[in-house]
Amino acid sequence: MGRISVLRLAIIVSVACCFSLLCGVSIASAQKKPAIKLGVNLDITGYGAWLGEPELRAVQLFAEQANGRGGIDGHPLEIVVYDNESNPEKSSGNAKKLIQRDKVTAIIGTAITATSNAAKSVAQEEKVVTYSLSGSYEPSYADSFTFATWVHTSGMVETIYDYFAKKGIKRVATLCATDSTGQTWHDEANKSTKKYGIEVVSERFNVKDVDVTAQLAKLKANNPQALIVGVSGAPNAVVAKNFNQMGFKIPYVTGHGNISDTFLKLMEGNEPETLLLPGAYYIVWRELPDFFPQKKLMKEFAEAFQKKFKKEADIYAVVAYDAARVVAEAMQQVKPEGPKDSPKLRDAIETIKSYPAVYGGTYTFSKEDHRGIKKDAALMIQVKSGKFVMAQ
Amino acid sequence: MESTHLSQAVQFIFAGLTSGSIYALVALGFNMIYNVTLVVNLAQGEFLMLGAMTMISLYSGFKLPLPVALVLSTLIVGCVGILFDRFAIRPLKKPSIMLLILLTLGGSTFLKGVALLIWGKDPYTAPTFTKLKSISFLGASFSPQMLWIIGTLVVVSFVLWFFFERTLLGKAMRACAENPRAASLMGVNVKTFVMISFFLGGALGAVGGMLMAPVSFMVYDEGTMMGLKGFASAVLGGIGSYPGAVVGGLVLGLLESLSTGYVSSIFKDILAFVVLLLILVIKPTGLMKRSDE
Amino acid sequence: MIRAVPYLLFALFIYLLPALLAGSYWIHVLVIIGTYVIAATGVDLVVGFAGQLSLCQAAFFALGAYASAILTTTYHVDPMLALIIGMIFTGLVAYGVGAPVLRLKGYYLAIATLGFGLIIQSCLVTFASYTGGPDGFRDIVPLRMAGYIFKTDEQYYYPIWTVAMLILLLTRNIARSKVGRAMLALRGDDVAASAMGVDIARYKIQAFVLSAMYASLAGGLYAHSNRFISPQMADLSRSVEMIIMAVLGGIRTVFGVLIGTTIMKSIPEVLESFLDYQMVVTGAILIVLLLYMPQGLIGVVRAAVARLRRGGER
Repeated sequence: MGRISVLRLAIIVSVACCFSLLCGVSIASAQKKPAIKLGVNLDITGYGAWLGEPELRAVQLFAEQANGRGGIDGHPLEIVVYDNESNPEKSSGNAKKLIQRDKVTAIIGTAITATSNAAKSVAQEEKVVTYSLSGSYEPSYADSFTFATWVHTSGMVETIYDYFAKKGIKRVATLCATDSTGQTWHDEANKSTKKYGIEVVSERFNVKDVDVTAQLAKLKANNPQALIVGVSGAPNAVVAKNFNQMGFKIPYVTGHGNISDTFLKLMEGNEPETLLLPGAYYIVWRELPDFFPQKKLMKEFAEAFQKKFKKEADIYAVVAYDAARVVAEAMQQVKPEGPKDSPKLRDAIETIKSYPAVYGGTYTFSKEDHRGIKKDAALMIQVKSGKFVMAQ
Repeated sequence: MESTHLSQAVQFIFAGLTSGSIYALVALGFNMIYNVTLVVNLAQGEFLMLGAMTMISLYSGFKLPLPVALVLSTLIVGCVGILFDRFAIRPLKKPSIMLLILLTLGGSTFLKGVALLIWGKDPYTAPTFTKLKSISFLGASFSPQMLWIIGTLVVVSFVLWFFFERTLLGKAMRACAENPRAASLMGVNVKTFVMISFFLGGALGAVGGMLMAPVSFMVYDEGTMMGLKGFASAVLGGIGSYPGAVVGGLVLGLLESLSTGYVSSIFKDILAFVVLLLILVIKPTGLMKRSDE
Repeated sequence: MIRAVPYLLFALFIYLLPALLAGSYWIHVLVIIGTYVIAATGVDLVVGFAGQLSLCQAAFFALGAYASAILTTTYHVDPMLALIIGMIFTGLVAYGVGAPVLRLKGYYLAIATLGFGLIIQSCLVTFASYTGGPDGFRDIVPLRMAGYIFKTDEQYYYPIWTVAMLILLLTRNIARSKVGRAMLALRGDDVAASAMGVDIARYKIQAFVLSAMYASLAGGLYAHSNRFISPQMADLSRSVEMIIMAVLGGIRTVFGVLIGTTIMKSIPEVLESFLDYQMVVTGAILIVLLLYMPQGLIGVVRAAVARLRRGGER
């Protein structure tokens, strides 16, 4: 009997505590305007982790800065973060959770194509703005609620082919992974060949392979002048090692999913003679002349990020930061209260014109264009003595 | 044209031997533990990952000389093997194949989680053991690391053979697997042997990982697939058989590289496992074991 | 009649649950739990009753999902019909694989089924023109029954849980029938079972095919309710997860599957805020549960009840 009453007392006390806490919180928040919630659905662990992590940091930085400036017209900006573990099904679950449970107005994410594709159905079903940070995801379709950063992979491939045309390269070999990113690269690289008069031979590999010399040997038989490696991240180390060991001297071009310090560290000691990637102006912001329109913006962001996280902000942080800026810009106009206001938010984003991008270039959205940025914002980047510089 | 075909074939074979040797080392680790304890340790791939990660930390992080880093990581992962047995396997009261498989899979998740906390999500790589960039042979070129990999496999196989066939301890361990009760009646300390086998299992995994890191890369969750391929090799050769593990690993590696080379790179995984299934169905006890054993 | 009371109460509880959770995210979690209960019950049949360690349940789950998705979305077949075609197709595949493979034992069977799972997963990635490849298959047609279109999780809740409960009931009846007792017999000893005139091979394959059909049905329902599927559905980790679902609650018990599935699908929701620690914690929970409660949670409760009774008699 005695034990039960102690238990009952404990329950009463804890319920009372919770109740007073809740009251306290609601009193405290009643004094301010209600918060606007922004969902974050990112690949923080798993395969896409090296993109998801800087992206998350950038959104955190943006929220802090925005609230420091007094929020969205007085409404504090609150971010709710879920990790999708780079797992497509987790990604669609997270999107549902953010909308149904947390009542967010818009979602930033995800980092990679597969998880972005998975969240798409939810975005359309629930009519909530979802801003993908993947360069291969296609957000422009009828009545779309999804947006995306980056110049699309097709634009990146054309940038590479422009560069090849300049260098007189006609015979190209591609070695693309069997995952989503690799698939997009494989398809795009084989698509625009006619226009550029380029001849392509293709092989595929699995991201878990520890040896791709068999594929490289087959490609070598065609005597290519350049190799495009369609994969993001660590598997590049395997390909580059095999590439060097087989005595290739041709340019090695890889995707824009590789523009980070982790990549440089991974390639250390194994860099091909000419290592190229398509990228954005931000990557080389230190090299840009002062009259470059967005240089000041880039510098401010890079320094703020460095100060908060003691780490260099890479391009992935930038795309997330840009996505948050665009959404917040639209929120200023709409002042959404929950998921139900998201269609208005979408329409507001579609009216944004010539908005300066930290990425480099400007965003101009429309009903038909949910990426807002064109091929002219892309350029070729080269790795020289462990640094990303403009390709010559 | 003839020479191109030859050099291509040689290249395919080298590629197959490289991956195959690593599969074989993982498979040897499986058998090491299986033969003493009848446990198929599906966390063997995680030992490989831990070996590579520890070696990279000691070598690139703490700047230890390479041989010291190699030996230390082997010992460390061996000890992880002992701890793994002590805390994840031994407390089980009524072992069954299913519980053991699930337990070692749980252990594999746990070890991956620990690695994630220690090393984060970044991939790491290591420099090759020798400075030489590449070696040419019959028009094909390969990494000098490959000689290390194949050489190590040969040495390890010989040492294991010597240990189990020629030393008293090794013979006692074999006896223990065949009949633990009889062995313990003969004064053999079964518990010590289980410990030794897990130590050696961990160490073998680590060796595989350390050899692989310079030709590839390592991430906290990279071990699982290698573990599965190693498991497949062990079964292919006949579970528990050391020569079988080596043959199984090399066959799987060659299957993969030859199907990539002569059929198509996208069908590689499918072909390799279809052949595995066929072999199992035709000869259920694996390539190197007689069916009556 | 009295024996039916707990089951009826349970059904009542399930049907009333959405009213309590209206508008909550947990409805979504419950819909997922419902689909997995169907697939995990199949595992219980093969692993628990027939004692065959099969590591390819997720492959059948994915086959059902892709069959349904491709038939309805690409070829405009009626979703209900597609679910049935998917089940028949998956059952035939299971028969084709099971007939030779189920002759293997122990670890050999495990690796063979594991290999089969990997083949299916690779096929889903490779034949991209039908399956959407690694990107997954998206914008799947929603379920449609007599003109009514199911859209939200609330709408999927009832059909999925009705199917799940029917499957549980069916499985319970099979388990208590002559076939079920025969299956239990093989679990212990093949030789004895065949000496007693039990046709081992036939029962094994029946259990395997039926369980594959359960998984296929679950996969089809999942495809329609989630609207998106990817080759990761066939992943080994998913098969393992399903086995753990069957084992955790208490193998060979209907409620065990329910409890196991609920726990396995709730852990990630609860541990969400741990992020980096999630993996370590999940691994540790698994090890501890398997080591100290190999009979599952129901086993622990039964043992405790038995101990209490004995204590009371004394």
